[in-house]
Amino acid sequence: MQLFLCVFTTVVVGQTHSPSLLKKMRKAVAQNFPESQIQLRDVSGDVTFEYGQLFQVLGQNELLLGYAFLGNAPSKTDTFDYLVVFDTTFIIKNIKVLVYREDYGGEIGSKRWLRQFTGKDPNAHFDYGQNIAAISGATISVRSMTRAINSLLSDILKSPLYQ
Amino acid sequence: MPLFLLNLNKLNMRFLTYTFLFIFTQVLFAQQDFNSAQTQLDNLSNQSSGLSIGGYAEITYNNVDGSDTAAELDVQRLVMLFAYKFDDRTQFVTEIEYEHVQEVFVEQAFLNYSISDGVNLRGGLMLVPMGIINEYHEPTTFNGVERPSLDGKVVPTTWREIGFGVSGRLNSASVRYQAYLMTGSASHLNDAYVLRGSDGLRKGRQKGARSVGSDVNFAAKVEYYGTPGLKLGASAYLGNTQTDRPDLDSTQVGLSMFGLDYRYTRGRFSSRGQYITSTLSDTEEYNTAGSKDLGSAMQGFYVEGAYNLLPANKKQKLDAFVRYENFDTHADTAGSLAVNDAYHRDEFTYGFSYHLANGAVFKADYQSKGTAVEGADRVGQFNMGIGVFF
Repeated sequence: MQLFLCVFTTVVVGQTHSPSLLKKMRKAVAQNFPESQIQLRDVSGDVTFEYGQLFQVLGQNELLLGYAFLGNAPSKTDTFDYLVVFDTTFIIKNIKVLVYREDYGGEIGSKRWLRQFTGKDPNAHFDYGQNIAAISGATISVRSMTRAINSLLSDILKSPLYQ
Repeated sequence: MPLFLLNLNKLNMRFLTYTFLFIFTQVLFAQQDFNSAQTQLDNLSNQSSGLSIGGYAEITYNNVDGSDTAAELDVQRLVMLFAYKFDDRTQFVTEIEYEHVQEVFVEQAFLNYSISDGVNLRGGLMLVPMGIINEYHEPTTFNGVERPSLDGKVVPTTWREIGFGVSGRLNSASVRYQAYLMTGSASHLNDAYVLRGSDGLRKGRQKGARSVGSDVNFAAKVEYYGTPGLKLGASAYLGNTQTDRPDLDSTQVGLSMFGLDYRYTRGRFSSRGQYITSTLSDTEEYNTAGSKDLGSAMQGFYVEGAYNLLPANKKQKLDAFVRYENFDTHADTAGSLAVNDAYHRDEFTYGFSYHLANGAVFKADYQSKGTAVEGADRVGQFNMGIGVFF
């Protein structure tokens, strides 16, 4: 309940996200941490992110466990919501597509495809067709996701949160 | 030439009409937004709801070798895509197609309702999931000015039927699935037996236009995309052809079609291939009653390789490709019908696709077409085309 209020308060002030999306996000973030209770605190005020909002993931006694980024990027005729989970040093732990709204390009939700991004730090750069594999029939969304992650990493490099 | 210009003018008129209609509907929807508090609330909680438009087009030039035939220049397809999202779960998708400027068709019109991430219910006019091209037929998604002939003579693209079913993705397994109950190709309409040996089901396509529904057919496809760069597909279509005389057994044939396909991309190299096999039952009775030459088995394959001649970091792409096809609509015949070797065809296609931008392509290729008839000459054909997809 505390967690719910925390996130809900955050997003009323920030961008508008549907409650179902936030529920999905909380559930997906929690899966990456062994702690039974986590809190999310919006910290995107420190730096502007092109595609979404950055949250601190906090455990008991406000212990910093990592970061979570909730983004929204274009697919062919619509947009999709995705989550990037970082550890405390901004190494990518996990990426997940939370909501994909059209038929074209939904393949980017593949766990195995998204694994190409994990383990990298903010100095990494991803190139479509080079260190990021193409997916037939999903070119637009693959490019969009690659661009969004590159943009996120470069924003994080500029952020005071990253040392 | 004046005729060609005249057709273009007609197209312009229709396009203008369309543009007008689109603006008009936009205004209507915009007014609804202002008038309905609920819509406004929906839009607040979900920024991406509403109307979306898109489209694709193919303008082609075909010139068969030899001086006795003139070239053909054609606005082969101009398709407008309109989709409306009522909410995150409920979408209506349409594609309205102009073929050869003058013929209007509805290529897709279905309502999609998302029950959960992995399960969508669908109903309406939908593409039959068989092979690659029938579903992914936009000109920027395949090489060659013309679609592979296998996806024309054996799979009757653009094959769409009215029905309902379920589709979805399981991202944990990297699997996409579709399963539908649908109508099918007609074999008998208005006192005529319509199917024939040279192109199997093609003449029986009903396109959702007052289509005859005598038998329910089943169509399904499973795709796996878990290996980066590779996509694998397996399709099945089972049932009977449709007839407007269900009381006459001879007007129908049974159909089982199966397909396997792959698409692979690694760096600047890409490749794809497809295998289709089908069996048709009761063709002897059908052929006898209608004086037709429909085969009892049809099959074929194609395999294609392409290499991007531009550096991978460039926005533009220049794919040089070669494709080999081999297909036979008389892979077998029933009863006394002799196998027609002219229906066993092979084609080499080689050329390039110059992607000027993501979504705009210029294509040129040369095709060499042959048959299994002994001593038959191969026929060459030069093609050029402009394709867009947005």
